[in-house]
Amino acid sequence: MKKRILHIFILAGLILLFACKKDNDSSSDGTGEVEIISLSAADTVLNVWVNTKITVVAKGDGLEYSWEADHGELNGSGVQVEYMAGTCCTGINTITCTVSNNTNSDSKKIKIRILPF
Amino acid sequence: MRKGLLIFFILYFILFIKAQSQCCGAGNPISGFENVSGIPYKTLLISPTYKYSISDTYFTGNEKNSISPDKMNYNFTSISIAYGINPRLSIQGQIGYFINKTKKYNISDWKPMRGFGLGDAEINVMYAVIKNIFKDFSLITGVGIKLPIGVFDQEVNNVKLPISLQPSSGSLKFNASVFMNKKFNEFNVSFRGFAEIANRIKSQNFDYKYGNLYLMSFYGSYNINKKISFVAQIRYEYRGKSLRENEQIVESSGGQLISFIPEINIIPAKSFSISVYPDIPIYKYMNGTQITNKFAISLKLTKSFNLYRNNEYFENSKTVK
Repeated sequence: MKKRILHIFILAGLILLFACKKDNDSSSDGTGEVEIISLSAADTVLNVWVNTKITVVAKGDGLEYSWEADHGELNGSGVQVEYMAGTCCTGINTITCTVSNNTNSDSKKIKIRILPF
Repeated sequence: MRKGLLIFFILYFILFIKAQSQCCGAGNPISGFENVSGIPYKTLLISPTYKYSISDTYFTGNEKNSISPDKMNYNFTSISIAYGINPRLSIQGQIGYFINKTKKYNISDWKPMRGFGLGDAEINVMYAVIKNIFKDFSLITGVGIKLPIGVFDQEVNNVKLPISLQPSSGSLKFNASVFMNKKFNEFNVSFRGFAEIANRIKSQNFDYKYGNLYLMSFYGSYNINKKISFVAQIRYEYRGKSLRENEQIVESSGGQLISFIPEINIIPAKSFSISVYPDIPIYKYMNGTQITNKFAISLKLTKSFNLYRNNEYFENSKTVK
């Protein structure tokens, strides 16, 4: 009986061990060896179909840069991309940059307002 | 045999069924339009389809706009499988794959962006409420679901594609339809009403809800001979405005569209047909300013397998899909 309970505890412990995962992508303050120093846009208020450059400065080794926009479009890759939005996407849009390497990551957001057409 | 087929269909729907995506970009495939007249009892239809679409013109209201910041095109393939479970009830599913969904920009140094991959899954169930063989009249109702199990949140070079280039709509959708058909010798006249409601997309990156979609189609068909028939379809499409985060209305979304869809249908061999149909917009009214579909063309092959008796689908169903 005791042996069975012990087995259940060991199994539960293993499940908990593998179920817990550190959420590296949610950090906005920088963790470990990766840190975003700045994320900036040449313009933060734009007319539709007018593009602007967005630049990230980060520190760390072997960095990779990922970009996403909740509305509008990004073009390019790496430390600098260009952003624009069409008529579908007027309003305040959020662009997220995630910088990562094999062990850590850091994310920052920037908001850009797209004026009506 | 029946149990085996049912297991096959269930597995098929769970594992493989995909369908078309529908998004804020113009000219995406519209769901629920395959085999709308119902499927004969114990008949299995397999229909691979290819579609090409191009969108390059902006409209403000019903006026063509001179701006041209970008243009889009896609190449889409799908396969539809339908089966008549009993004389009144049939089931249909589709899988689809975007070979490309490409946007080209008229902006210096901007590279074209391309999405590709599997779209959503779609399952439709149709029931013949009225099937009067003496008066050659039928009334068929249908319900369907579109499951967003395709590729969404796709990235190219670590840059996420905009929602208009994602192969999957990312949204769970429900639809209902009604179809009426009346035969007059070599002529057929039909009507179809279709409504689709989309659930909110709440992905890691996107927070979006497509406007509801309502369609009405009027079909007229004529059998030129036993091997060739012609179908003319006039389709009216109304789409409501989309919503983004915090219930904000996307003013430049939704609108009205009337399309003319002529179709030539050839039966070169027993239980096999080839259909070609362009999609020609004849009236557009866009809320705000939006890119619109210029032209689309589809090629569809259909092979039927009668599992009941030696009774051919194409001979019975004539021309209306």
